[in-house]
Amino acid sequence: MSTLALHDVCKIYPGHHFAVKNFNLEVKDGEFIIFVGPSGCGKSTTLRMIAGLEEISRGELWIDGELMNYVEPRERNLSMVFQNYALYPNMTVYKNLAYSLKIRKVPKTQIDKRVHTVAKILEIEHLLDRYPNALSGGQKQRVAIGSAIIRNPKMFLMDEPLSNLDAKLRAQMRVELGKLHNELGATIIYVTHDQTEAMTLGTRIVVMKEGVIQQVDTPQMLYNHPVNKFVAGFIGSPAMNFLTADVYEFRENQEAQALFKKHGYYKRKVIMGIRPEDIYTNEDLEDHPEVEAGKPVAVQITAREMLGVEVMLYFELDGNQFCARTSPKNEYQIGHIRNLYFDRRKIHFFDPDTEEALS
Amino acid sequence: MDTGSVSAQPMQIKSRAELEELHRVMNEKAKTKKQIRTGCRLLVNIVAAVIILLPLLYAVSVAFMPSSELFTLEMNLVPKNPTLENFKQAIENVPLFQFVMNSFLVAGTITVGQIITCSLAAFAFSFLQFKGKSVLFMLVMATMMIPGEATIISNYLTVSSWGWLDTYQVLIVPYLTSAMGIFLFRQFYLTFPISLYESAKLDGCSNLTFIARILMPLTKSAIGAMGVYTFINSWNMYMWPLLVTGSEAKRTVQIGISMLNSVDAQSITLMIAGVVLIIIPSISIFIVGQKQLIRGMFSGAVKG
Repeated sequence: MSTLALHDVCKIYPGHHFAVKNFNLEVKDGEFIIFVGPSGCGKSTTLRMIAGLEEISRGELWIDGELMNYVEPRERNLSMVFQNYALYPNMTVYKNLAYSLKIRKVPKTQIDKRVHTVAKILEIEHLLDRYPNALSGGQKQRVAIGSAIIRNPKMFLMDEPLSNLDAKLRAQMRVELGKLHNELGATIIYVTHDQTEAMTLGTRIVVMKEGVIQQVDTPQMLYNHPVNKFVAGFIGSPAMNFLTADVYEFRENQEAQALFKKHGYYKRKVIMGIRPEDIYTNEDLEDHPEVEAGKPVAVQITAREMLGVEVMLYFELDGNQFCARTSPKNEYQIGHIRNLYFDRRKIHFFDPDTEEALS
Repeated sequence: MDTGSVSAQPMQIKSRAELEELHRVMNEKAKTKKQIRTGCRLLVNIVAAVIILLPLLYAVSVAFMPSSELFTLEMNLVPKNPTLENFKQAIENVPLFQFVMNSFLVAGTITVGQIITCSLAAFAFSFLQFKGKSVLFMLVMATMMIPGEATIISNYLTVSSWGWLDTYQVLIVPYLTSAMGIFLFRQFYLTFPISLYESAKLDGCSNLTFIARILMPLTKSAIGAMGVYTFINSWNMYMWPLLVTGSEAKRTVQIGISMLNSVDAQSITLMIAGVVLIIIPSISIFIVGQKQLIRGMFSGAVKG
């Protein structure tokens, strides 16, 4: 497979509106890169620029060390899976799979062999004679993936390929996509707004907001060390809880102390962030002796969601909605006032003006 | 208490036989209602169809009448002594066969030409991005506002200066494209999922391959509609062919038929027989094309 590099790539629409701004990324061979962000953040636009479906307004796109800005989409040797599958409705599954090879004038016997191999990988051999309108959503998706992998492109581009599927099928296809990536060793660039897909599939994730890259990192690093409040809030479900707090001198948390001292935050405000799973009830603390619990915070429970293995407790703190992910051991009900504990080591701090993480 | 007993009652009476009886009665009622409704609709349709078709049907009937039968004081809706004489006469009096062939050639070429040019232009207007696209499209649309009669003299002068008078190309070339067709195709293409085009581009399709292999097969119904519309329109052309053709060899059938109406050979039955003969092609084109007009090929293109 191959490598990809984007240097200061911009997409500018008339009226100096930047859809994508100074996008820099190096993709190594065999990586599974995810572009993730809220809608309108420029992730699809970037993918389409790589595919050649959108012009690059500024910057360079390199594939395997060759400048690709001015190369026609069909000569870039990439393949793309679209959200709505984009199967040719006038052709059977077999012809759909074979089409890109046929255009490239590959000999018929070879096409036949490839089609059957791909159909076998994706378990769609029994569907080869059917037309797309006789397929279910999941089957169409498989065919779409099949026609993408059949010609061994340099790279796969996927634009929210699973978002038209129902939740169960999506989970199943997610696992299969992961498997496929391992089997083919392919380089994949994948756009999604679903952070679960991003976290489970990606070897590296690119978080975008308003056309600008916020952070590029492994799922683990993104989760544990978000660089700003946006990334912290976007990655993780339920989202991280935020609270604006005044900093004063305290002794309990040496690490935070040092941090504030270094950045000069004494007697100023910071934004504090804590993930729902880092908030503990009395009952949970007994099971987790390793937690460095801070002082108890008395809160009034406003909602309780029983999810089986866990219970979500919702409460308000200084006018901010908080959510805690706790074990089902507690019997807290709506209206109860109870003590909860924050794991001090897991608290994130952000500058209130720049929203950058303090580190 | 009262309401309670009423609502409980239906549950109590339902023994097996009673239930079956109830089913039968209700079913009968529903059936009769349905039949009456269908019957009424059918009646209204038949009456409307007869009123609309009356002139046509009468024309067919007159075509089979000996002329002596037509000019009587009786009400002759149906020929008493049907005859094929009128058709025979019509074919003998004017070279009707030649005219029909001319019309077919002209209308057919125009139809094929318009489908090709209009679909190519519409493709550009809907799939390609270029500067001045909307201005250009508006310009094309603006030509629809100019009535054909307004340009007919300048067109005549142009073609006559080229020495094109009384040829096939003078009948065909000016009609090889139409703003209406471009508009029709463009509207149809705008509903076409753009991702299919992009996918084809990544698969390695050139624009022309895309049009021929994917776009056209998938827009058969638009092509059918456009084809029928264009064919009938060009079959019925009158003013332009009358102006630019002179010899019998190049006349189209609409002009030719009016030759039956000359002063020295005036016969209504003869003329109507000719008219009946020449509407057969346009009606059969419509009947054949009708299916294409209705059928949609879109199911399954995107998630349905």
